[in-house]
Amino acid sequence: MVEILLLVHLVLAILVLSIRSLFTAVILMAIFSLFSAVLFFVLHAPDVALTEAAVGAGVSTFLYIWIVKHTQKEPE
Amino acid sequence: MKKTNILDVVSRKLSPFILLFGIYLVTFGHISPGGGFQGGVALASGLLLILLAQGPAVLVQYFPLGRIAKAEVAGYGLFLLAGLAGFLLGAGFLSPLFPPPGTIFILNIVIGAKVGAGITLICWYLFHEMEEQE
Amino acid sequence: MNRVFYGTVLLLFSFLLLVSLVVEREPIEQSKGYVLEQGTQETGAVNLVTALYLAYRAYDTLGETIVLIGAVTGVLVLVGKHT
Repeated sequence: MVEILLLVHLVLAILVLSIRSLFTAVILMAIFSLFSAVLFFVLHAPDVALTEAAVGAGVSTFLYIWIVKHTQKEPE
Repeated sequence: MKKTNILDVVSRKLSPFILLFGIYLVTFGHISPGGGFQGGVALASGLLLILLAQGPAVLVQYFPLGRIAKAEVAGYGLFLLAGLAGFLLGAGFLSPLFPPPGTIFILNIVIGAKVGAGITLICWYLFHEMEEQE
Repeated sequence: MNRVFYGTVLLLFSFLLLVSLVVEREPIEQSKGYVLEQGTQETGAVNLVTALYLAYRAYDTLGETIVLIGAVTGVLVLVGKHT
C-alpha cells in the first residue's frame, strides 16, 4: 500500500514539473497533497493527514493560484 | 470567469458542514484525531469556500472583518494570559490550571479560533487585492 | 547528461525515502514510553498528539501562534494598504 502510494507520488511529481500550463500544475499539486494525506493516514498519523488535507489541498492551492495570476504574462 | 449554478448551490450547501466539521475537530481535539490547528484550518477553508464561491460581500455580511481580526488578537492574548496566569499562581509558565481535560479543551478552542481567523484574514486580503487589480 | 544526473540523484533519494518508510526500526524508548504510560492520566487527553503539543510542549504552540500573527501582520502591511 505504501509503495503504491509513493509510486503515485513520484508520477504526480514528475507530471507537475513537466507540464506546461501553470494552472494544471497547481491543481496537480492539490491532488499530490491529497495523496500525501492518504499516505499519512495509512502510516497511522491521522492528525498530520488532517493538516495536510486542509492546508495542502485547500489554502496553499489558493495561494498558488494567487501567485500564478500575479506573475502570468499578458497575451500579446 | 463565469459562475455556474453548480458552484453556487454546492458551495452554499457544503460550507456549513465544513464549518461544523471544523467545530467538531476543535472541541473533540483531546479525544479524537484533530485539535486546535487542524480544526482552525478546516474552519478557515469553510470560510474560504464562501469567499471564493459567493464573493466577499456575503462573507463580510455573516463574519465581519473586524470581528475576525478581534478573534485573531483575542486568541493570541488569551493564550499568553493562560501562560501568565500559571506563572502568577506560582505553578510555572503555561502550567495546567483546571482539572485534567479542562486546560487542553480551552486552549484547543482558543487556538482554533485564532488559526481560523488568521488564515481567513490572509486569504481575504489577498483575494481583495486580486480583485482590485482587475 | 545533466538530466541523467539529476534523474539518478532523484531515484536514489526516493529509494532512500522508501527504505526509511518501510524498514522497521527501534523507536526512541524513554520519552515515548513515558508519554504512552502517563500522558492520558497527567493531561486528561486521550489523543496523545494533543497532549504533547498543548501540555508537554505548549511553549512550541505559543511560538507557532506568534509565527501566524507575524504572517497576518506581514500580509496586512504588504497588500492591506488600499482597502
